[in-house]
Amino acid sequence: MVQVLVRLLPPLGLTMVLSITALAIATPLGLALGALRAELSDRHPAARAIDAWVFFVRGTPILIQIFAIYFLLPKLGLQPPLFVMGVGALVLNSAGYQIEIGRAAVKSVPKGQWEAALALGFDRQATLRQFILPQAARRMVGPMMNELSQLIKASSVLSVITLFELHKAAEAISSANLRFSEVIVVEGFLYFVFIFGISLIASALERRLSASGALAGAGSFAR
Amino acid sequence: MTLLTARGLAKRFGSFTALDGVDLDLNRGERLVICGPSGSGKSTLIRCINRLEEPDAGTIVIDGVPAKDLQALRRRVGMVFQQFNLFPNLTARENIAIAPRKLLGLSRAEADARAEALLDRVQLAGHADKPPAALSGGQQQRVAIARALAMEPVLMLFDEPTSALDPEMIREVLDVMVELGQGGMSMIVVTHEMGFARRAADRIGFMDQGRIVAMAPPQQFFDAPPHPRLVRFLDNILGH
Repeated sequence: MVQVLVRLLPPLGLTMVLSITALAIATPLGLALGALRAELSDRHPAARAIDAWVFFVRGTPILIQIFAIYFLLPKLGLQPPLFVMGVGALVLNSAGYQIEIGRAAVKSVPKGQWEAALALGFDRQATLRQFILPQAARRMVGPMMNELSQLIKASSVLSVITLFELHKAAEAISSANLRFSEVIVVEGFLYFVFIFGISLIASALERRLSASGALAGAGSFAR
Repeated sequence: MTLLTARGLAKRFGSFTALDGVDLDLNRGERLVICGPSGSGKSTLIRCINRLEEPDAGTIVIDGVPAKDLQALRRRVGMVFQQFNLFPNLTARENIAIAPRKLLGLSRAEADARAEALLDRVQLAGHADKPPAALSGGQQQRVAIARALAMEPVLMLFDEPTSALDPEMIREVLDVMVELGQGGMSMIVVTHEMGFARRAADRIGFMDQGRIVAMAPPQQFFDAPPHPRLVRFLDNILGH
């Protein structure tokens, strides 16, 4: 058991680097596009492109999305390293969901907040940045925590393109020693510890947002 | 001296005509109350003045300058909303100080001092550090008035400022508005508070179906209503 654990630690490292890199790209990208989408009319070409992205990600299994990158990119003459393809697939997938989270959060801020800032003389961009996004942020924390753990778990599917991350390594070990249940217990434990650790960080962040007042005053929307 | 001149303002929402060619003049320091049945275009009219609604037709000149630069216009025209629309994540002080700081370039200390002075003026000294959720409706609306005043506007627009308030809080908001008018602020107030109109207005306009159909000083407005539709309206709201 311990031996399996030790052998799975380096691949866990790759899983962590893959997910955290993808997260660091997908979150700002998804939220920026989500906020942009909330501002655009449905018929704007950029809005249609963003919607197409979201529909593709929601409508296809992640396995297909990973293969799409793995097989289609080379056809377009692009041959990035495996790691980049892996991160790319996770970003494609996760940003697709985070666009929706960001869009919904921006849309959920009452129209009166826009009008108050615009009436004072802020332009739309400053209003979005200064008043709307901070309020949208508090509405995003819950869905974002979900998305985070989804992203980490989705990284296990990258094993299909031979990235030697946690799941791929576990597969390799168990097919060699044939102790499937032992390996799978250790693998599951490692995923759990990683996701649990990340969720602790996220909760701390949520508490900080709340202490700084960014999350306060939801009640005053009621009237 | 004329502060605001609006000519031929028109606005449609789909097939509904909210404004049907409205002309309006306001003198500097004048307090104008606009009333009328719901759907008559009162709110649309004042929302067109600071262009929260873009009129389909018509011209607006404020202070001799046609309203070209949207942000510049809005910085000089304060607005108070029915639902207060305070920023819930900011304290009362920050709600007031943020626009002067970000838009007029005041330092944090200057903006905070301005906010404190305005809070004092609306009888809310000591509430500066509270978030809106910790304030009553009447207090929130007074912070909202202070927030608009912090930009030192030449004109204040009030869009049914007491309609969302519990009855016992209406007075404290109206008192602030009366005082503001007495201090020489030019104001356009959309309200159903006829007591306020009688007490504080220089003129009262009555709107019906997207037009201003009557406009008169308070005494004439109430005692000799110049339009049959207005007679019915006053019967309805004063008759109970």
